Amino acid sequence: MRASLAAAAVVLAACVTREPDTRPFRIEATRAGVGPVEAGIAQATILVYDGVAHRQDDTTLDVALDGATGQLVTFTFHRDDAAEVAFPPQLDGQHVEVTVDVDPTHVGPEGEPLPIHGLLVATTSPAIHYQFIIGEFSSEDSHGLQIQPVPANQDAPWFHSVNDWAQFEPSECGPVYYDALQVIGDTGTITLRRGERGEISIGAAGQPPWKALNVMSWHRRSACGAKPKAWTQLAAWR
Amino acid sequence: MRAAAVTALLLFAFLGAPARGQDGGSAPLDPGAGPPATAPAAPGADAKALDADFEPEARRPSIALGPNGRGDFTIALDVGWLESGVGATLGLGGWFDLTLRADTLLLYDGFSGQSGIHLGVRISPVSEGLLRAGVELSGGQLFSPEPSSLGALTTVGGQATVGAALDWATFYGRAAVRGISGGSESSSPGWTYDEQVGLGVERTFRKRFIVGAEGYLWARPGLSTLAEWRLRFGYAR
Repeated sequence: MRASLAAAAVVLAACVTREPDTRPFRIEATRAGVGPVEAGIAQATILVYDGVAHRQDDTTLDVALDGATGQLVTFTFHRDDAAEVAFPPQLDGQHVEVTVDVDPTHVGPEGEPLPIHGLLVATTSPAIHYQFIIGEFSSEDSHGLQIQPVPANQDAPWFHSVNDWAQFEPSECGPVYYDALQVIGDTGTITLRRGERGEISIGAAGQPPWKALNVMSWHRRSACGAKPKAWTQLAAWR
Repeated sequence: MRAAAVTALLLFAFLGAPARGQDGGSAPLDPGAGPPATAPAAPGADAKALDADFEPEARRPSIALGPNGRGDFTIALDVGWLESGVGATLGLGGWFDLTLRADTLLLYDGFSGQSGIHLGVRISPVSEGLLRAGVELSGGQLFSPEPSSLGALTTVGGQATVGAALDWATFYGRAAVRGISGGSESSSPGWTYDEQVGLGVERTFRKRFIVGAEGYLWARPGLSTLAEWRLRFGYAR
């Protein structure tokens, strides 16, 4: 009898749960002498910075803003779960346009504040030519997210997270299903599972293809405290 | 680690039960069969008469190990974390069994989570004596809580099982791999797969009833490896 009770207790204790191991980019944009660019912003906003880029390292890009002051804005991100993501070397010394998606209500996978959720870098000479995208998007809607970082007919991909249902983690609030990421280009669509990378052609012939990475995408069907119901983290670069 | 502890404790619970609960391997499976092989010979009988009376030792029924006799079947209920399920195995004769299994995340998520159904063939070329071994090839489908926008999730799987049928229990180890299609749509992702490696034990009661426990690891490439367990209850006929 005691052995049976002990066995039952251990069995219950062995009902382990696990959350997806999600490590956001935690994008930061800091204006020298001023502080975080999102400070004081109360609603979702797109900020655009133009200037000459200096690539400090894989994850740090300085932009000396146009104008007499030449003020620096430094963009950084963390790549704990995506070691291959880096600011492209061809940005160094080029005039660039950096677009920053700011939403003070946006949260990370644990419900933590994550006000900057997208970064888009383009070279500008002789025309806008997109080079680098990172984004992380949470949602209270567990159905697929549409992510369109640029207007139609530009030379950057669009993204769509789709519910794949093939793989899941047994989280404490019910299964968290890993999602696939569809990357939409000129010549078709590729679909990437978590951690997968693919290439897709966009723009003029002769341009290098985009490399797209589904860093992490998941959704859950039931609420789980402050945690979002869906998360999509992606990167793409030329 | 915790699953290993569970398995160890369950093994202790099962194997620590009074020995009278376990049927010995020498008992015939069919209660309607002739006299036991150990029945004393009639005085004066010669060796040929003894041979004529000889009944081959019946194979102890098992959930994990085959084969079943032709037309014999085993049904099993598994209760575990994460997967629970029901299965049936029908002996086709020789080394071959037909297997059917349905599973769901009963204890974890009721019937709201991922479920599956699988049909397969088990081939058990090593089935006499102490050691028994076989492989199972199966195909099936996973059912998701909502329709997948990428189409049906077809599965194919293979499993190898090796066991030792001792007098007091049957021990086995198994390794399985399962491929899951990315759906039937043209833009679907490719196949993914997962693996299971497990150790289990079974005991037979009253020649037909089987109780077992198994601990196993469920590994998915690029994702976490989860320790799992299941209790198994079977009936053989």
